[in-house]
Amino acid sequence: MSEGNQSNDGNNCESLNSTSGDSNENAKGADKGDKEKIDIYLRPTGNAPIMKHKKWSVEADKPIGWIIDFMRKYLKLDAQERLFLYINQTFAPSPDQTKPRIIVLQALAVLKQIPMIQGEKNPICHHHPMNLVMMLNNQIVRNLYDCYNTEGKLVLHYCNSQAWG
Amino acid sequence: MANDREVLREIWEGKLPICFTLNPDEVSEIQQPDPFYLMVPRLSYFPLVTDKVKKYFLKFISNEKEDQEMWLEYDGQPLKWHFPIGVLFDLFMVAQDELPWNITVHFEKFPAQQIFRFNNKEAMESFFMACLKEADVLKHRGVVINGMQKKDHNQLWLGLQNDKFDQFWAVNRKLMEAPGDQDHFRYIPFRCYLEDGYRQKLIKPVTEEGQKKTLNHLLQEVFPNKTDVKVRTHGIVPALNTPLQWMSEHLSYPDNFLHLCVM
Repeated sequence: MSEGNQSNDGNNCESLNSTSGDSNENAKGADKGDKEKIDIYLRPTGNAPIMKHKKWSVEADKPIGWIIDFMRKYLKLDAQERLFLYINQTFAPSPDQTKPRIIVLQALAVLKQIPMIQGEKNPICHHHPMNLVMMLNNQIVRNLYDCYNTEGKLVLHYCNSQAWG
Repeated sequence: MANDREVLREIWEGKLPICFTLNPDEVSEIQQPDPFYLMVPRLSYFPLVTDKVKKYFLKFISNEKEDQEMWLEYDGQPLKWHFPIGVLFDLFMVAQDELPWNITVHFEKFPAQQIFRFNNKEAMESFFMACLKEADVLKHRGVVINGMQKKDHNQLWLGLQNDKFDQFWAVNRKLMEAPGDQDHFRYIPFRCYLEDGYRQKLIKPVTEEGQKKTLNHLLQEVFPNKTDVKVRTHGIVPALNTPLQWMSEHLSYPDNFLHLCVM
């Protein structure tokens, strides 16, 4: 993924390349300079640590799990720390709902016995996002962009606790 | 509305005969266990139907392996438990006459790089509900699923888990209604499977002029550079002129997505 130099206006964008340190892969990436890339915006919510760069360009066929792995390394998270990714949806909130609606997209977690959340106002809340998202790890960025971009931007919200069910 | 109830029923009742065999290298007894045969609903998921299989084979592996997670393999590839069984079959099977479907059961060397861990039915339920929610966002901006109560969600899940058509469809029909004054969904929830994964796109069920779109339109929009694309779903190859809205209402899996395997 390449990284946007966001110190001021956030318009610059950096490439997020393989962070594996595999120089071969980097070299290959350079050769295929025309490989389709998609800009994604990573926005922290709640108490999530801030990333210095918010705009990244990612190869379109990268799976979400790869982005999560990258973010975990970038944010230097311990194996025990959780990271959830959500996609923002701009649609009308139902009457009892004041928070923006979010589709739970991705969570990375050590899969252990996870307590279910009960009795929240939002009826969907009892489904624990931590489990859900593991499984969408193989969803690729292009699909998400095609379905859920808003005005040409794919915004992924991340947090280290569950922000929305 | 999903009005062709006999079609819904036929799809629901689609089943596959499966022959489960324990990986011979993992057998700790002198005698190899007999294979385990099962008829499973195409619309279900392996974690919902394999309790008996696990219980049966546990007797034949060494005690210290008992805590390990069971996983399934066909033709050298681990089966993704979060895909519906019918989708896995349509993806793998070239010839339909290779029945029963021969699947190898493993307890050792879980391929964590290729498939996700599955530890309980709640994980399956969470994943299933997430898919339903995503599908409803595409169809109705999420209004219908979010307007439901928890008991409705439970009913969908239990209907699938217990193979109860009426229980499931009593709630699911609300998800299959077109929004308000329209006769079609906003977008059609679908996934088109290729060898290396699947493609998902925003596709409307009608053209700009209000004409009904067909499967052919969808395939052209997803694969603009290919011609003569055919897809298989539920073991059948739907005609290219099948209207998309009808397909979505009648041929979707319980997660409300059309799962189309490119042939």
